[in-house]
Amino acid sequence: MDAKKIREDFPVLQREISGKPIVYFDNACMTLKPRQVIQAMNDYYENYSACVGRSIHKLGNEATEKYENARKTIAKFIGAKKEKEVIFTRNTTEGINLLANSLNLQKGDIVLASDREHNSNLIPWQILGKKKGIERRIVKSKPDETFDIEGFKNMMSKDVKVVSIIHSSNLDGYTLPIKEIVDIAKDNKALVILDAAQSVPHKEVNVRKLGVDFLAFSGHKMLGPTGTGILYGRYDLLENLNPFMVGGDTVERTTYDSFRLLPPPEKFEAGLQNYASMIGLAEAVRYLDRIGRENIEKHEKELSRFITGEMQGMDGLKIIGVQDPELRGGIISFEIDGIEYHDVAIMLDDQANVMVRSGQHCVHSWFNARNIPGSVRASLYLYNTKEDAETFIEALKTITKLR
Amino acid sequence: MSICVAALVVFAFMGVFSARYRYWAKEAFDCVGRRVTLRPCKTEFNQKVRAKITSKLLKKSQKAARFTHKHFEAISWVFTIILFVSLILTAGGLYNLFTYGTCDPAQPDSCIFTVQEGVCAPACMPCNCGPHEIGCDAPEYKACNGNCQCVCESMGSVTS
Repeated sequence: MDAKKIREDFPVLQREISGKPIVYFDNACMTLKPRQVIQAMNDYYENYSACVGRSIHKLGNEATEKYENARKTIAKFIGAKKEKEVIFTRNTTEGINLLANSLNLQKGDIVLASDREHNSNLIPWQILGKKKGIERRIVKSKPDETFDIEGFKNMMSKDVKVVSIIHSSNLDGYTLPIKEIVDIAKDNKALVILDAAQSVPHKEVNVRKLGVDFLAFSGHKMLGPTGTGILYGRYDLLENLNPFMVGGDTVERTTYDSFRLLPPPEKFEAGLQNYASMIGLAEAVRYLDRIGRENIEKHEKELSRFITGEMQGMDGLKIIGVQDPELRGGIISFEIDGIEYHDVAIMLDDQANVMVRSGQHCVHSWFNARNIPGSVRASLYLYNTKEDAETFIEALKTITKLR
Repeated sequence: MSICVAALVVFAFMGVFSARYRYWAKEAFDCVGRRVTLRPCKTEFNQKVRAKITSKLLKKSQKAARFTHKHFEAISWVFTIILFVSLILTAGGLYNLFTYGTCDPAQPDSCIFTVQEGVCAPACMPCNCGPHEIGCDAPEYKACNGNCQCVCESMGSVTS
């Protein structure tokens, strides 16, 4: 995999700010878009920007064909059995909210999660707890911040109806042993919802091999357009779910007193959809497939290993979360003693155009439980190079001299 | 808080000339607005300014950067006080200038803007007056304000 060659596809990376190139290390939040994705979206707007699935004219047919092809491409990408298991959403958050509001959970039902869930996989269940009286239980991490599989096993019971859990954490990049988690959950007949926002873009994820019932991820974290997301669901489960939102294109017919819903996925996709972006997302998927996610994962780990090694010699710098770069993938979260995380982020940007994220990364619960005010997060992707990593390290070395 | 106020004044002034500073002025305004209504500063403006200044200093002098970073709040208070003292003195001077014709009525000579009626400033002498002005009497000369002006009111022409 040639990261330097890949960079040529990204118009943003051709920019220089204050005479210096951009070092984009905020990929866990948003990735950059290759020219191919932008062109695919433009193609829709310039050549066939019509309604999908409703209009029977030539442009409508063309748009429908491209849109449904996008669904097929994405279904294949995650190993879904059929494309009808793929629901288009706006993001991972919408996918999880859809499930929380569609699953028929009752008072006393238990939803189990890890202690490092993104707010998207925390707040919907908290609200459901208040609204319906469902119970939430949290599996605490081990002292080394890895997942406590024994603890999880002990917390499983027949009352646990849903295990809604993160695959790769956005706070430190740690990937949970999801296969084991699924096996334990299945033994107890619990449904498994996987928040795969940080895993699908970076590694091979096959829903059938993992055995998950539902999986949600976002397009903008995998070279796709903003406001695109996917919710995968096993078809038999989707058939029995009530939609969260209804309206145009979700029904077969209506009378003044009744309605008949369309089958999945249409019944979950109310209103006119973001066609151009979904076609763009499919192009992003094809782009990633051409490179190969196993190569992307390997590349990120190499860079992460290098950065971690350099960081270990820096006075006052502490990596938070799981320490082993082999378990962390392409995310490195850290704090520098005596310098606030936002200060570090601003200075990295100001000194060397190194763009990172700072704060609690929407995992406030994890930070607050540990009394950590926040961290700086560098997250890597396929277009980052060794030179990027060196620039980052050099800028960090200068900043640590402030202590 | 202090840096928000100082920055608002400075950036608002600079924003008149450059759009770049208008963004900062807007952030500073938001920050001041929130602080005076006892809400936390949403924009993290203090932090942004501190980090930007420290980062710039870091390229020149590590010691100065470290000092600024550690004592930023105190430094910003000092600058705020200096800024407000300067603003008050300037306002007083302007008031005096328009009211009394000098920014310091107690010692008019110490103010370079003091209006001197009827005589040219010594530095302007002698005036190189044109033909219409030759022969005008001294009382017909107007305030010079540092420039040598030969004004003959009866003929209405001015030569500098």
